[in-house]
Amino acid sequence: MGMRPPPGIKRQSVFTFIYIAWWITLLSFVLSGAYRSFIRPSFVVFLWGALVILLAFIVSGVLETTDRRLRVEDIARGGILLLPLMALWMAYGKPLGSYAYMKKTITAQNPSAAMTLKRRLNTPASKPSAQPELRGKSEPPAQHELRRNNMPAPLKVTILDLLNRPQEYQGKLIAVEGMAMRQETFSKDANSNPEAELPGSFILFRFLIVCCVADSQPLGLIVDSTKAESVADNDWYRVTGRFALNKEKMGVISHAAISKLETPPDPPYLYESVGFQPGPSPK
Amino acid sequence: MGLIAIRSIPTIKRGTLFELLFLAGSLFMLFIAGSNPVVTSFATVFSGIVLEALPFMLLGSLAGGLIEVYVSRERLLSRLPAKTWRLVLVAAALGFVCPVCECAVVPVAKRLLGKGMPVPAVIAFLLGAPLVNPIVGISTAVAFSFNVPVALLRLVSGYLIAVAAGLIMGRLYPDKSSLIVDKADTHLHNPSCGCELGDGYHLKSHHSRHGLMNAFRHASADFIAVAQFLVIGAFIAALFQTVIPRQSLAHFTTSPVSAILVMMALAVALNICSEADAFVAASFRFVMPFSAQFAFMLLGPMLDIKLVLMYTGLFRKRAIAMLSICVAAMVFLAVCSLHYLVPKGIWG
Repeated sequence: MGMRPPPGIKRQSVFTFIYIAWWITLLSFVLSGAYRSFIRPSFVVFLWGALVILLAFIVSGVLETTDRRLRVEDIARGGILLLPLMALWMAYGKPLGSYAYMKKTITAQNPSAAMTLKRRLNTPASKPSAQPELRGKSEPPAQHELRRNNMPAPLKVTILDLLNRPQEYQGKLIAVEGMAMRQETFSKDANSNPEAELPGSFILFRFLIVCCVADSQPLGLIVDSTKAESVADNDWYRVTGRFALNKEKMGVISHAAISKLETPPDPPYLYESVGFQPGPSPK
Repeated sequence: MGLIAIRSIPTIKRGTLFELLFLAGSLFMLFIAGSNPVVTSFATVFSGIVLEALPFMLLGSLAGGLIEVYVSRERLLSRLPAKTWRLVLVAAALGFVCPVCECAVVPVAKRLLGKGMPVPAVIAFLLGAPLVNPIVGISTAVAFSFNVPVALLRLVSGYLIAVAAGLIMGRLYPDKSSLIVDKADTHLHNPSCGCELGDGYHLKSHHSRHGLMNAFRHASADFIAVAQFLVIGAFIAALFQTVIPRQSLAHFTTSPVSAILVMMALAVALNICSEADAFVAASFRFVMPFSAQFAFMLLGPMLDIKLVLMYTGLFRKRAIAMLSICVAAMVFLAVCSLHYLVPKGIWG
């Protein structure tokens, strides 16, 4: 039933070649740290284990002399085993972005997936004593505050810190990094919450990962800034401003100063862990 | 002349034809639409699933190779309970001794089958090990705000379903040959092995090499036999993850039954590792009832696209269909019972 292969080519030779291709790719991803765009950093130990086992397979394949000839089904299998390598190189240095954010956001109140996470971690929902005015005049803009010498330096936190313990950061001056998604992109989503779509605002988001990008969950904040129009989808920014929860219990950074990051955070994702790593305590 | 030409075209197996078509379609998608953000997002998720599963699958294959070379059939059978039902009870809980994920369990199960372990016990091991293990218990408790009863409920339910599925399949298919594929029925075809290395390999070299090298060869053969199904399953799962917006699921939450069914379908489609799926299930807290989240956690480690494809290396298609129906029905009944019989508020 099998198509005759070119004479002399053994099945094991082809699969040994595939193992070598996998081994080189895995090693380069491990050494360069590029694997962190796909799985959590601590899983590198498993990749080293995979490299050792693949090396053993390569050695056993090279020493093999009695294997049968190549058939059509072997060519199909080999091609399928090479597919992930192509995908890996295609996705090299391209973490999940705004498209994945929209697809993975669960509830109608974008970006309330973050709030889901907060409640899951059993953090009591924060009830701000006074609802922050997103465009209020009573509070001076953060840009102006930063220029004053007597103002405290912003607390460097992650989106996960803010959404895990919002009550601790309520009203504080914070600095947080993330990817941007413009309101125009966001508004294309039919289920987005109109109340979240304030003019002069954009969404700052990152993904939270347990094991790999397949289980990633979007975490987002609304950023209110006069420079919101200048941000570009999927670019990385550092945002400095006052943090608060709005009446929809969404995290909002108001009167924000934004600066584009030339190099994205490494790794690009945030990671779930038992007793998550706390950020700095607000003063 | 034409007839002769047609006859000279070699016949290709249906499975191989499917694989070739899949390969051609995948290459077309990756190369033609490569710069599209949808395809980039797909490539990232696809790569992530494979990269995460690969080490465990290699480890499972290696364990299978070591079992093949170093554990004799007689030794294995002498240490197992004689009665099948007792063996099923033990096999479903083996994950506690040897916690393995669903990617690693298939090659090991294949070797255990080849060593003469009864089919009901192998099925109980296949279904139980990825779910009934301490790592899954801890991750579930953490995902649900350290709610230990939820974790225990998941482990106990998973264990009972694995045992029941093993016993039911054993009763439905008393004849082993009607359940498992020829390649998996190793000791019937080749007294010592049954891998795809070929007869020449076994006649000339199987017993003449160093034991460890033999184990590597068997492991490599097992890996090649199953890895393609992992890749195809990961590809389909990544496609689902990339294309289907999760918000669309909210339309199916009008009744608990539809919510449970939707989350079961999602568990099959997403192929999320059993150690991480509790976190994804918990993220649906404000969209889906707890019973639907629980259905997601219970079914996913036992039945998803890549697992079903990997099962084709062990079981006949009709048996896989029966096993899938059996598991899905038991999960559905268990979760519906939980929803309607247990007072709300108990599980958080």
